[in-house]
Order: sequence, then C-alpha cells, then structure tokens
Amino acid sequence: MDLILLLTLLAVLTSIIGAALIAVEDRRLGVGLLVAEYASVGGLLTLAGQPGAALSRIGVGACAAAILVITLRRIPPKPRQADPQAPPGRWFRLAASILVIAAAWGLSGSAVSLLPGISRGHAVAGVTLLALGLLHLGLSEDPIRWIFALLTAQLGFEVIYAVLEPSLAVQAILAGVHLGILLVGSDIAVRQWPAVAKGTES
Amino acid sequence: MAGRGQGNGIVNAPPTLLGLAALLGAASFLARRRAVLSSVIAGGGAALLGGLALGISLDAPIQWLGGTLKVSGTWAVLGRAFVLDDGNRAAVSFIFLAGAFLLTGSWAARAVAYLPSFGLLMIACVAASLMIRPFLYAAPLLEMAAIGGCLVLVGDRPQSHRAGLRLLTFYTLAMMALLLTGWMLGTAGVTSATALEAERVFLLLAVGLAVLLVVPPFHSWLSAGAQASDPYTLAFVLVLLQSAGLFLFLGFLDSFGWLRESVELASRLRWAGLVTVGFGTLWAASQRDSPRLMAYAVVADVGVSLLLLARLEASAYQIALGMAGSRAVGMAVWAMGEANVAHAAAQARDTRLAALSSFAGASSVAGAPLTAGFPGRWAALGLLGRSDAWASGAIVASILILTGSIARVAFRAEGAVEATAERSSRARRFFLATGVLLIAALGLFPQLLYPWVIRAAEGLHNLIP
Repeated sequence: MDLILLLTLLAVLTSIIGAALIAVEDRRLGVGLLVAEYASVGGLLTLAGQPGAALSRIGVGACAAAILVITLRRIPPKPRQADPQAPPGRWFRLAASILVIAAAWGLSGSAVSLLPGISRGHAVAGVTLLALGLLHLGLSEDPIRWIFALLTAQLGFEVIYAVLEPSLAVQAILAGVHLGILLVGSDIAVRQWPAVAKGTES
Repeated sequence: MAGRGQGNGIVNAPPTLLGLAALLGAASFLARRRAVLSSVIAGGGAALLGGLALGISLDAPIQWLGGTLKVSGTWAVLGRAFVLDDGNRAAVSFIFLAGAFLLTGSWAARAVAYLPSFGLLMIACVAASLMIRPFLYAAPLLEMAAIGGCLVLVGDRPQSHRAGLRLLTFYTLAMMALLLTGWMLGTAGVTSATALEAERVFLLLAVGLAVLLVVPPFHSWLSAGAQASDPYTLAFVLVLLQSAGLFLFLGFLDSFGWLRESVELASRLRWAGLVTVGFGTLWAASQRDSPRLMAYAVVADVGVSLLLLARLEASAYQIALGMAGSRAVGMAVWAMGEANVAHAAAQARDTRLAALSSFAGASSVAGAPLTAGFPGRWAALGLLGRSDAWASGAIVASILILTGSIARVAFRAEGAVEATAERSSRARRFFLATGVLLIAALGLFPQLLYPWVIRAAEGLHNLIP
C-alpha cells in the first residue's frame, strides 16, 4: 500500500479513536480505546522510521491496560455522586470532539511549517490527539477520565516529538512519565473509593 | 556504576547519588509509621548527598582501602549523559541541602507519612534534571518530580485530589512546551534573526516557565492545594518545583546569548512580574484563611522575582536566587506553625508558639521588615528603585498589603483555635522556636543565607561571571 495513503488512514483512525474515547461513557470500553490509541501511535511512529519508539509505546500501552483494569476492578463502575464529576451528554461530547478535530486538522499545517521534518500525516495525528486530550481534560475531573485525557494529549505530543528527537534516553524517560501518570491517577481513583477498595481486598 | 581493575576502581558520581537517594527513600518509606525515624533518614540522607555532591573530589584518584578510587563525574546512558562537574555541583548540593532542611522538619509539622520518602525521590529527580546533558532534557525529569508531588499532595486526604491532578496536568503541558522550545533552540537553531520562529519560542517558553514558576493562570493547583492539602507538604512541593523551574530558566538564559540579551524578553518578563505581583497581592488580601492567603502571597513573591529577572543582569539573578532560598525558609516555618496551630495543645503556651511560627513564616514570605524575606525585597528596591518606579511601587504596596492581611488573618484565627488534649513534644516546640528565631536571624543577617544560595548559580558563567 502507498505509504502516504497508509499514513493518512492511520491519522484518520487515530482521530476517530480519540473522539470515541471522549464520547464513550463506559470506562472499561475507554481502556480498550486507550490501548487502541497506543497501538495506532505505535503504527504512526513505525511509519516515521522509529520502530524503537513504536515498540516502547505498545509496551506502555499494555502496561496501561493492565494497570487500568486492576484499578477499575477496585472502584465502582459509575461515579458515586450523580453529577459533579460526570461529563456532559454523549452527543455533546461527540460534537465537541468533531469540532476540535476539524480545528486540529486546520492547525496541523502551522505545525508542519513550525517544525520542519515532520510529515503532514504525523502533524495531523499529533495535533488532533493533543487537542482532543485537552478537550477531554476540560470535560471531566474523574481521575480515570483524567488519565485517558492526559495520556491522549501526551501521545499526541509524542507523535510529533519522536519524529523530531529520536533519542532513546528521552523516549525512555517519556515512557516513565506515562507509567507515572497511570500509577498516580489510579492511586487517586482508588483512594476516592476507600470503602469499596477495602471490600474488594477482603 | 563502578568498574575495577588492578586494585583501582572507578565510581560514577551521578548514578551513585541518584541510587543512594533511591535507597534512602525506600528506607524512609519502610519506616513511614515512625514519623521521626522516617524524617531523620530522609533529611539526614539528603544532607549527606548534598555534602557528597559538593565535597567529593571529581576525576582525581583517591586512596581508599589500599587501592585507588577515581570518582567520575560523567555517566553516559542511552546516548545522553548525566554530568556532575564544577559547573553544577553547587546547584545539585543546594537542592539536596534545601530538601534536607525541609524533610528533617516534616515530622514536627505533622506532614503526611509519605512526604520524607517521596520527597527524597522528588529531590533526586530535580538533582537529575540539573545534571542531565543537554540540559534541555530536564523537563521530563521535572515532570517525574511533579508526579511524586502529586502523590504526596493527595497523601491521606483524598479530597485534595483536585490539586494533585491540576499540578500534574500543568506540568505535563509545561514539559511538552519546554521540550519543543529546547528542540527549536538547540536543534533547529532558532535565534532572534528568525523573527517568526523566535516569537513562537517566546510563547512556548512563556507557557513552560509560567507553569514551573506558578505564575497565574497556572497557579490554580496551588490555591486548590491550600484549601485541601497538608500545608507543609504543599510548601515542600511548591518550594522544590519552583526552585527547579528557576534553575531551568536561568539555564536557558545562560545557554542562549540572544535570549539573555533580548529586550523583548525583558519587557515581557517585566509585565508578567507586575501583573503577578498585583494579582497575588490583591487576591491574598481578599482571603480569610491563612493557607489560601499564603498561596497568593507566594504568587506575589514570584512576581517580584520576575521583576528582578526582567533586568537581565547578574546582580538581579543573584537576588532572585536569594529570594528563592528565603521563600523556602519562610514557607517551611509558616507551614510548621500552621500544622501545629491546627493541632493546638491544651497548653496556651504551645498554641501561642505555633501561632507565632505561622505568623513569622507568613510575614517572611510577605517580605515584612526584620524577617528573612525582607533583605531580598530591599535589594530588589535598590536595584529597581531609580529606573522603574512602577515596579518599585508594586513591591512596596505588596509588602504593606500582604503584611496587613497576614496580621488581620492571624488575629482573627487566634480566638478560633480549639484546644485539644494533645500536648506538643519538647522537640516539636524546639523546632517551632528555632524556626521563629531563624526567620529573625536571616532578616537581620542575610549574609548567613544569600552567599550560600547564590553559590548555587556559580556554574552559570554567562549569567554571573
């Protein structure tokens, strides 16, 4: 398959996964979408000639899935309080995501001119994920959704940065940052439901 | 970490320091149920590591156990390096020793049990950020420190999760901005000659540093933390991360000549400083409780530092560094007093001592005369006085308004404290009294603190010749 076509398809797929992650309400489904996001970013990095970075993202994605599944087993499936942390309706979130994707695709041209060396496809995927992550951050304060949002934003950044700076040391530190965010977010999520967590342990 | 051959050994200093910090952090964690022991391990360990960083003889053979040992300052890892040399050892030592000061007192301040262990790991991350080469990669290490900060901020108070999540969100965004800035400056070679790119560098740098220095609107984690987190833990996280941010900013200025000579940067820093002083002071004046007031007082204090940095001259950088040191002392003494006021003892004498400690620390952060914070403000006024009336006026107004607000809140709180049956230990009272005396001593004799703190920047040869 043509490389540019493949890159474009992956960029579109990444954007769709990012939007779906915002729209879905089931957090378990969200974990699956987050892992898919990691896999698609791995694909984008492979196409950029960074197989090491791609492999590390897929490894971190697997760790993310394990940590989040364990976390979700220790907390109730729905937020305990009805509203304060719950994001607005699904259709609203989907509409906002589509608007953000449209804006991000427009802005990606500026990213290409600002950062010479990255392709349009990588810029589109990177800026879109970054923007969707920021949107998601603004929509919820639920720690699990916060993890989804922050990791989405960081993956978007890394799609661009890994192309610019292929240093293995930096990639390793950034992978450590992913794991740190996952662990801290999970810890906070579990601490918010101490009684339930204790019940699960016993 | 170490290699041997024919009775000779080579030890790499950076991994040794970081490894020891990790081990001591683990030991402190295991002892977390014994607050005093945990604090002593972490505080003593940090002091030891600070002493090692400053005093160890680098790249020269040392006679040891019948053989020779050579301590190398360079550790290459995955194509990058961590370097401890004469240029940064004072700064690394400063971070460890300042951390030791704060961690040792954590038990007296009834801080969260995890603070000594995770605090030491945070200090190690900040020290690593000072040692990594090129220094532009310091940002992810500061993010690691922020991850630790998030954990201790939430600590055993789940209701303070908002502060932790905001802190980590801001630091993640700052890391992205600073890594891109570093790439544009270091690899893409952006200079003032490329006006459009330089403009974008300014924007990214401004976002990154505004987060690290807690400049509005990136201060919201601080106000959220003041509401819900343990005061001493909040003070520790704030002081450590802010000091790291200041060092990173000075590193940028030191490395890129066009940046430190940029009139545009100076102008923007000045405006940012004026707005930050004004915002912090006015918001502090409108607060009714001490932690939130202090959060905004720190914002105002950072504003004064920005006004100094805007001068882009050596003496201003030195004063800004000195102010960072006195801010650490002031915040620690305030938080220790604040935590003990909250656990007020049946003895009126104990309550008064804790309240006095809280008041002295807060006054120092406000820059009131006869406190550790005043000499920095005075020196700033001396430097800015003639050339920038607006900045001088803002500093004087800030001192007056903040001191008045602190006195108002202190008098209001005095009658509201509920006595408990718990009695403060003699050692805790000793720490509180020492804190108050330290604030007064550093106010009267700033030469006890400033030369030592300023030495931390001795590796920045382009900034401070």
